[in-house]
Amino acid sequence: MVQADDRAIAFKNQVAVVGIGTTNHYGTYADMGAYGMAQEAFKNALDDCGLTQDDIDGLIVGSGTGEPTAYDDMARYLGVHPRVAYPYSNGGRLFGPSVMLMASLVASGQCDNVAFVYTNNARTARVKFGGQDEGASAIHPAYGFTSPGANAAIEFRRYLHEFNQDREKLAAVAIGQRKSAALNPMAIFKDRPLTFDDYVEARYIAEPLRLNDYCIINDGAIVFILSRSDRAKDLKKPPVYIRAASQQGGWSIYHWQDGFEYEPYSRVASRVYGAAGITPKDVDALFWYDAFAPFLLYYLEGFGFCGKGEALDFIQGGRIELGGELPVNTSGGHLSETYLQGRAIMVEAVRQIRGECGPRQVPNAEIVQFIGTAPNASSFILSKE
Amino acid sequence: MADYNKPLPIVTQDSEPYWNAAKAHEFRMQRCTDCGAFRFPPTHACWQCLSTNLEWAALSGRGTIWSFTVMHQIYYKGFADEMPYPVIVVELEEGPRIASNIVDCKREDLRIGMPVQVVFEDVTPAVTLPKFRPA
Repeated sequence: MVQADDRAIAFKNQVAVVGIGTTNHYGTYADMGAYGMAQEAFKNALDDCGLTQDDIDGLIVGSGTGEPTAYDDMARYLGVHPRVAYPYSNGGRLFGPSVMLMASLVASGQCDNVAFVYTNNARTARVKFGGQDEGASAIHPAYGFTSPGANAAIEFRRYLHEFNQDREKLAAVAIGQRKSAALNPMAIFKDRPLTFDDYVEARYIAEPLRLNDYCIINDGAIVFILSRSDRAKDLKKPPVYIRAASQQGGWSIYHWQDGFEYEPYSRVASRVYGAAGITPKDVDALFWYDAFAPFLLYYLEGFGFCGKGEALDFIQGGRIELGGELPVNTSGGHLSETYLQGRAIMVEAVRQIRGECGPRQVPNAEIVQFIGTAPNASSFILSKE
Repeated sequence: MADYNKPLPIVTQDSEPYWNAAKAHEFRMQRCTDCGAFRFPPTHACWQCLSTNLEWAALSGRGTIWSFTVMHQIYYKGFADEMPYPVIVVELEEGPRIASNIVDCKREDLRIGMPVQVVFEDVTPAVTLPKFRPA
């Protein structure tokens, strides 16, 4: 049974994102290796906030889907001696929860400055996200059933059936985010415009999902640093506060449950909005875990941006693009910028609050929200104040 | 049959009775004898009450297609000659949903809600896969 509660952590006035760093580009880093990418991103994150290696007293090391990185080696290669150090499971669905964990270390007084270091060389490691001995205790491969995308495809087809919806309306997600990517020098697909015709003519991967409904597979690293709010003000950049965070486990997109995760998402929604004292109408930009385009539909409905079965209509007409009512993943996201399992999306969310996004800046962005996917539905709210 | 080159299921202590039943062309699933819940894939204890008392209950083999995908990407070489091929999720009459393949049905004819019936495909001398055909 699920705990019926309104629990969320209101970190406001306690924890802020103070530093963000990425590798200098995204794509392939065949020669630098996972640790080399981490060093580059870590140096950039320190430069971003003005902290030094000695200031880092918490280190969380998240391996990506390629070459694993050991947390102890990582501490050594980054030249830090943190009081608290943990390895953290990969898995993008655990990104939102990782932010909660880091924020809790700061809010509880265990750490003053926690660095999350994430590296992924999936491209170099030729990770395919399918074809392994996996799935329902290794029964699925016998049926040729493999890959997270196939699961997402099965769920999306069911969604279309239940709400009698038009499959091609999903194009708005990939096309909208590709437009934003064109304004992002870091985006892997910045020079690959996507028209509706391009979208429908692209090949299916797992029908009804096509190529552009899928995230990119690439290399890159991200580091972000969380600090105590009372000290954050003295650093280089304006603090970006973690206003509230919550999560809910126990549902899986991979077990074909009814309801398109409406239940876990709506639970997390009531918690984070309650703790942050806001409603969906206050969200200036939405950052979402876009491994596959249909996930946005379930988030929008579960978090109350629109009603059940209405999301494919809600996203039409430029509403989720820059200049629209609810811009989403303004960097291009996993679909068009880089797939670093949520971490690069965090970087863009922070930059929007700081006003650093140049031609893709959302005017007066003061409150932004991240939503991560079930299992471990998660969300956090970042704000300027 | 000797050159069957698709992946074979990994048989575990918990799932062995499932595959033995399939080999005998019987469709059985673990059912908790304390609370009555079915569970799949096979595990040591009941997911609902954690009891380890169980029976391998015979299923009707009837169900409906809950949803499906058509795989266009080659992830397993053994499926390369069948591209693209459907993977279906069947909602069994008894409740559980399981993944499988459809036989005797063109993929253009697949529909959500279509009634299906289990069939058994002896893919190797040791392994039989439960699949489904239109009912």
